[in-house]
Amino acid sequence: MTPPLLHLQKLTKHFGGVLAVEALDLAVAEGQIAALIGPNGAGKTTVFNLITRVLPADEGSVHFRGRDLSHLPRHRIVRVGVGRTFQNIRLFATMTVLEHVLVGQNVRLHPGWKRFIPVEYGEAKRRRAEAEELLNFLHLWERRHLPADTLPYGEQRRVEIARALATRPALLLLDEPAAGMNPSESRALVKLLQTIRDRQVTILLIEHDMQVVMDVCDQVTVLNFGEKIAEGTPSEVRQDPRALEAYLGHDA
Amino acid sequence: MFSSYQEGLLVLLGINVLTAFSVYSPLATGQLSLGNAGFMAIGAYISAILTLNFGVGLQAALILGGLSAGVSGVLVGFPALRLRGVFLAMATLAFGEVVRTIFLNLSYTGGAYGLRGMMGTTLPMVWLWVLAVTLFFFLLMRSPFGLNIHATHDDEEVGELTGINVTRVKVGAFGIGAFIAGVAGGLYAHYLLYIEPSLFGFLESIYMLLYVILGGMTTFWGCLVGAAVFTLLPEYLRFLERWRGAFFGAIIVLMMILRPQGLLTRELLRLLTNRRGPTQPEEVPARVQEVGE
Repeated sequence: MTPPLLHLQKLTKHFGGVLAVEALDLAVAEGQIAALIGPNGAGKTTVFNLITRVLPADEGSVHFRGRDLSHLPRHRIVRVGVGRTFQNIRLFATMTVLEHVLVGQNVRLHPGWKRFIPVEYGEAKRRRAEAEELLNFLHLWERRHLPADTLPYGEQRRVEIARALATRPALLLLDEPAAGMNPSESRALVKLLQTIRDRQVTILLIEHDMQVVMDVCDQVTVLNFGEKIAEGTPSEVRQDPRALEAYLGHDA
Repeated sequence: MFSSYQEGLLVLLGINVLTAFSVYSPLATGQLSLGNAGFMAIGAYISAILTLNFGVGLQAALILGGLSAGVSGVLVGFPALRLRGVFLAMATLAFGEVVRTIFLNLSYTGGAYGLRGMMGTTLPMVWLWVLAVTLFFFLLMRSPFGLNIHATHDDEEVGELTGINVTRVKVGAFGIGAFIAGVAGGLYAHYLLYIEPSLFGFLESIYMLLYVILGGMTTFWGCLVGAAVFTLLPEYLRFLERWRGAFFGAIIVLMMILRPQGLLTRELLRLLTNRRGPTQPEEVPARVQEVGE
């Protein structure tokens, strides 16, 4: 059996006396769309922050393609192939949509003098074309010269996804991509997630919109108070009594 | 071509532009340095010692002075750049004062009396340096590294998670700024014919910052505009005599109220230069599938 793309083992994080994530084991196989769900404050975003080293873990390990990420500096996380978005959208305030994608592409530049060559010349032309192709894929091409933070909410979420995809990640962590979207936007998001997966990108998402989770995910993990209480396919989780009680109980 | 008064003013203006660039460089990554007079002093003293005592040519001395300042910038940068905002401002300000005090107490550099007899800075030389540094920023800010500078300025953490080695960007920008301040110091020393520690007090650092903020700190062109306006304006206000300082101060306060982003902003430049503005309809390339709304 091939090892999972992302493998968390006994991952633990305290904030003072509060246990935010408790001995979490989680495996995401290549090519999957996996979801992390649970009530507010269950520790979902903390898990993302532990994977991307925004926070140091107290115990446990994060392995990506069999490689331990625990001691990598933050900027190396993207280089090994983990991209992410943020729950509260975090765009670069002075940059245009296109510039967000170009910054994402910078990860793949060889270290050295090439970084100092202006973007409009040489091989940079090819990078530019690639960036425009990506923006077109995300339906942001018409917006490419606009400052990103002037766009409507749903488009800003797509700019974040574009920035992350520009780094060519093998794993994309999406923190509540459907937050604040109306039903038709959510349906479009489901399609988008499937097309991203078709581009050989594995996805782990945090999501409250159960319709999105049920429609698109291969595997669902339910967290409550930092602890894993259920795991399985969407239909399995839907019938798990502990999951229902903790989370789905309210609207199921 | 110019009267000696005009020539002196233009030399000073060129040097002020360089010092503005030296503050802009770290500021573009979001770091406020109030110690650039210290780097300027290092460049001034090192280049002066090289030309006076070792017979080194002026251009080589300027570059070596700039490099000395740049290296000290990188050395100071590593520990200092762990600090943010006012704390970084205080630390760099203290650094500038330390440098000044060292030169004040060093008998080799003449203590409070300073060094005398340096010469050779000419108007074309100053403006060639300004041109070179402007060209450098023009290219740098359009390069991938320039984008990383903007990203670091906007959100360090997200920048790191987008793969930017933020420490390297910040220390690099700090070092580049220190180098430019050092070169400006060398030009200044060989123009004034003398230097003494009191020329490099923290008020100098404040002035450099003022050029950048008033000129507009979102684009490097602001350095040119800011230094030009605030070097020349006081000259045109000479008729106000003793009220000149008050009037000048009032103008600065007004500027901060009316145009807090500075005279020149990136948005303004975009409006002026963007030929393919969003007003013109464009043909959208073909799409594989419907993903948007």
